[in-house]
Amino acid sequence: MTTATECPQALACEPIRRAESVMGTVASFDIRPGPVPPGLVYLALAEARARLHRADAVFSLWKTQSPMSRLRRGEIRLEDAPVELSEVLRQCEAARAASHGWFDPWAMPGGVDPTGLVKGWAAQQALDVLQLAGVPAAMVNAGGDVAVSGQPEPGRPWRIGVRDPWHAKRVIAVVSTSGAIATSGTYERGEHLLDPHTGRPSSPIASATVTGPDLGLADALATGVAAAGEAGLDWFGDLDGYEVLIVRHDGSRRRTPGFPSAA
Amino acid sequence: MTASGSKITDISIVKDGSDDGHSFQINSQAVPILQSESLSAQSAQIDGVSGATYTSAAYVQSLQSALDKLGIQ
Repeated sequence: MTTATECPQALACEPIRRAESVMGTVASFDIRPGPVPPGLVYLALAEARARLHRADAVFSLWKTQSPMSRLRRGEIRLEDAPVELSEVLRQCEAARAASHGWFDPWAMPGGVDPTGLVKGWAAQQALDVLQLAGVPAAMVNAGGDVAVSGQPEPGRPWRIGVRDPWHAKRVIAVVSTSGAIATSGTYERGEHLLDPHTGRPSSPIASATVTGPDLGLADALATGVAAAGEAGLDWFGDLDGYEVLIVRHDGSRRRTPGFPSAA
Repeated sequence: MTASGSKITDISIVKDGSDDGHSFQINSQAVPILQSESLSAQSAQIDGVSGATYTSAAYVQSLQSALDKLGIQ
């Protein structure tokens, strides 16, 4: 290693990369252990992975016996459900307000559906576990929603590409970030984004990418903007620390002035 | 794209004509290289990729998957 970071055990200072199959997608970890002993790093990684699987078990709507599924069917009350459920629904309320109602889990067919926030929230939790363990820099990428902490190398921020909606192997922008970045669009799964006001499919733009301090809110805002289209740009004047990049169906882009594009 | 030893040494830059954009592409011929060899993170100059949620199947073909393979050396 040639970095300035103290590195008493050479092996420990190499990046640790892991890919975890969870929540119907893959979560990627890139951990820069610095001087943290390997045993501690791997313990934290195990806990971070467990957080993702726990979120899947609690919130999955594919699992008919998950607490979220049971709550939707009225089989359990919120006060009897795991505590994360209340926390996530509280954050959903905040995201609904921030998105002027365009992210609205309560307007989804079949009952309340926090899916648009849960994956980002879970990845942020996983990153927080690594940070609490003292890991100086890490990235968690849950299926395209990315949370980072620290710097991968001294003096260099994390550089995250934004996928080209039409080419899986291309990026259309590179973002320098110290927080979170989430993207929403219909190009991967072909699913319909719904206009919560009408219940009808709505995909006025190809993709929306939101940066900001928290990945749960960024994830929800990206979902909201992808359904609202360019009107969503106007929300961000009131959202401290959050920025958005929109890709139109013709490939052109619009973004808020503070969107952190790297060179 | 060219591969030298275990490192990819060049990635073609594709100007796509959009307003503020520069796009780089790891072209289709390079896919087998990414799948069979490790590549330098410095060459790609990105640490991760944000995009709409991919399925586990689509992950295999993703740029993020290529970056993750850096860890297997």
